[in-house]
Amino acid sequence: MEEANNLFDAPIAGQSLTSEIGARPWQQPAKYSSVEDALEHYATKITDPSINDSLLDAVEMGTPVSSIAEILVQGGAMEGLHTIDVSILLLPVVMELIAYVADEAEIEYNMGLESSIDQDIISESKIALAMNKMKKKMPEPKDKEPMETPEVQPEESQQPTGLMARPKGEM
Amino acid sequence: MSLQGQGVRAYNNYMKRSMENKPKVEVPTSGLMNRNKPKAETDSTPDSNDYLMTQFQDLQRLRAGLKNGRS
Repeated sequence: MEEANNLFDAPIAGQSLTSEIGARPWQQPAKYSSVEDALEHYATKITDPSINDSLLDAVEMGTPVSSIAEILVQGGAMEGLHTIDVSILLLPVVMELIAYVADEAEIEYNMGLESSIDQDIISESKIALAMNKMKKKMPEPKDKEPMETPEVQPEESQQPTGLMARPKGEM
Repeated sequence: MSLQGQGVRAYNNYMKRSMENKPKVEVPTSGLMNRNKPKAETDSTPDSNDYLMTQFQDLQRLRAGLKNGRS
């Protein structure tokens, strides 16, 4: 079943030909042609304390450093900053750079190098996601409306059955 | 265009290569009246001019320095 899903998780054949050649940023000449320039671009972005807050948040939530680095360099390639081969070359250094920044901020992180997944451990990101879903589902509290008191139905008393008991109508 | 798993593979490859690199050894220069200081052997491995490998190793050194003394 999973294999079937992956089979269809791909672009439609010929989709890349639906726009003119050169219309996409990655079809233009790359902004940074060398790995040195591209790495400098990422190093300034990652080490800048005013920018890397969200990055450190993602690291703290338990997102693997390898995944973050992949997304970063892939985004750079899609924006036309560098080519896809440069992004693969940059990956280990970007990962190391993110780990360094996390170390500096004293944040525990997951490099994402471990292949085995422990099913018993629920990651922080999954917990946060579940909490968000729960918050959305919960109804908002209604303070203005007065509390409705249920009408109390008088219980029909059972008719006394004893010898000396009065009949109901005489009371 | 997706880089699924390329990061892990590339990182492991770099780690392996950086561990294989031998540390530089300082060799005293010869001569009776030689005042020259010991000089490190020039590295002639293919990785010696690898900019990315140098950056990677420098970052590892920095990280080790940060972790040093921390529990």
